[in-house]
Amino acid sequence: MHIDAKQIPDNSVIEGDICIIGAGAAGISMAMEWINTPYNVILLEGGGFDYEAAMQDLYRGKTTGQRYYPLESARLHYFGGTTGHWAGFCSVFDPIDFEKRDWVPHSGWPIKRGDLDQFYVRAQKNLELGPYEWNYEYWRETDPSMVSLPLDPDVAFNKIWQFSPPTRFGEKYRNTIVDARNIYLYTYANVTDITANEHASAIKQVTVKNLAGKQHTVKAKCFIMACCSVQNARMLLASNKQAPKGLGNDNDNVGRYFMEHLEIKSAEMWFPEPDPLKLYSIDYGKTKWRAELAINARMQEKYRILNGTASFTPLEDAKRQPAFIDIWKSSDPKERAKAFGKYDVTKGKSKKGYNAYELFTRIEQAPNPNSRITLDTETDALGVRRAMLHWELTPLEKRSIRTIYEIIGRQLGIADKGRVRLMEYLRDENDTSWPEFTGGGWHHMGTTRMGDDPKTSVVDANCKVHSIANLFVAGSSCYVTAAAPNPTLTLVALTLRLSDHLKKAAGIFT
Amino acid sequence: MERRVFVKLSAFTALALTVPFAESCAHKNEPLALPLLFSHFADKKTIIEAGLAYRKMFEKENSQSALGEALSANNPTMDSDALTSALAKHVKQDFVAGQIVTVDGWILSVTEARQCALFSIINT
Repeated sequence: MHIDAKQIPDNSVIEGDICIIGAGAAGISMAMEWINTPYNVILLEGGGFDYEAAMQDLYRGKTTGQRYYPLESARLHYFGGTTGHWAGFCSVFDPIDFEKRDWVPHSGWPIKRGDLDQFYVRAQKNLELGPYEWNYEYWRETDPSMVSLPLDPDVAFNKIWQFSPPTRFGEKYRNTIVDARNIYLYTYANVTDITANEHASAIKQVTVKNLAGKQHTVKAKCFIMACCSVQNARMLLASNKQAPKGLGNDNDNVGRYFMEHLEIKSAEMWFPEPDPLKLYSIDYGKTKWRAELAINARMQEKYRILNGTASFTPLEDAKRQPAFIDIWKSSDPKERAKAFGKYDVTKGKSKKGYNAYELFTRIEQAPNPNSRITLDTETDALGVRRAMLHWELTPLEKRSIRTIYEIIGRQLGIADKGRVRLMEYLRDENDTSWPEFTGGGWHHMGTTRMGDDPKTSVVDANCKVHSIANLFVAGSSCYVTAAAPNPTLTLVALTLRLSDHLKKAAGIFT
Repeated sequence: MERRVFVKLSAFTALALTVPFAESCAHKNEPLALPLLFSHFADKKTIIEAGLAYRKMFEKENSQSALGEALSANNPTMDSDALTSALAKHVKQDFVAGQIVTVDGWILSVTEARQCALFSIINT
């Protein structure tokens, strides 16, 4: 059922069993899990069904530290959320991503990769991916022409990516949600306050507002925040009537450990003979799977580096393409598509291949408490203090990128296949600065990190806010570390796991 | 300088000075100063720049004689093809053993970086 919150009487009280705040990949995945159950689910979406500049402006916010995209351009504020502009890149996290690594400060999840496996299988269906197969050997059998670079399996491996169509949740699942008899989708319902009981040990209700001037109250037994990393932190911090430092923020962790994937041009790879590198290439909209070069866990440990991958673009094409951070400026997805379309380097590749490729890194950011979301003094049109991002990297990211290419360079040398040349910013081991073209993958993670210890985390292993009985967080804000892959597949898997927990173990409804 | 090194370098110098690098077939005549795989995609300027960077990093090796001796060590043959093959083997062994160096951004084996360095001395 769909209700436009602008059209119902002012000060309406909306009641249900579960209130999901946010209708992006996480919120919609969560809601779909509850279709045809005995529970009434309220799904709150701040925007409507399409892009609107005024709605997007609610996401505007200042950034400091490392240069970043305009905040309002990185997330979409309408039904379907950021799946409205995502590119569909999916891969699973590696087991090492969940482990405590003594060379990565603040690493270590309270769950293991195995805890997510069954949920990855289900998440792949939501994202319209292929089979739950992530080994190169499996995929190679489906297409023997996908030949690997010569790699020592003890050093590096082909990490598989599968490509979602990409699934636009707003289009794909709109009817599923709207037609569900027990799902109540409210559009133009921006949460502006989360109200807890006197001791801030449980949530009583949330306040929603819209630009039409209407305000409503939503009451439920259980609340799930699924608004993305920036907005989840913002809402918790801004909801400070019962908890002066913000909800769930007794230990000053909310908003901290904001993470992005560094996505950055890093090196060149030269071959004496042209090679099409078909296994590693992509033609947007056609390619169903491909590989990126990854460093195996043992080598990550040996060299004490972060987890990251390398992908390849013909050098002559890559040199024509400006850095993402210089292209991605508008909050309007159509404008951005136009800007990116001009530089699409995935079409019309030579079958014979190329002698030279650009090596492009996608790497996790080390968890860093100083990389964080806080509240600005400026408020948005609904009176909520805006989010501010301070994006801060550490020397570990840069050393890791350099080391990854030294390892790859060595592998190519051993195989007599070619040579690698580092870009200038990586050559001086003592230089910890970042070039102007440094950018992220528009992947927001952290800010309500998961952990067993409330002193160092915001949610527990089941994504429940530590000190609050009925407040849960769905999405990548719960990530402890960012891994190398794009976050969507894992955040949907984590959401499905939370949904199962709520159904079976949380005791919310008993 | 050992006599055999001197002979090799003198012969190569003459060739390099009289024939443009790309057309010189120099690799057939003077393997000591020509990184084989690297030269298949690196032009003369690139090899020289890599060589200059190596010489700057390792000042003790910044001479024809020092580089020649380092490259000739363990390569007792005077036969050009055999030397080419031996040096290629050394390059691969360097990578296996982690004997690599980053010069002008290039991740090269120490052997081929020395070859670049020698090339740069002879060609500048």
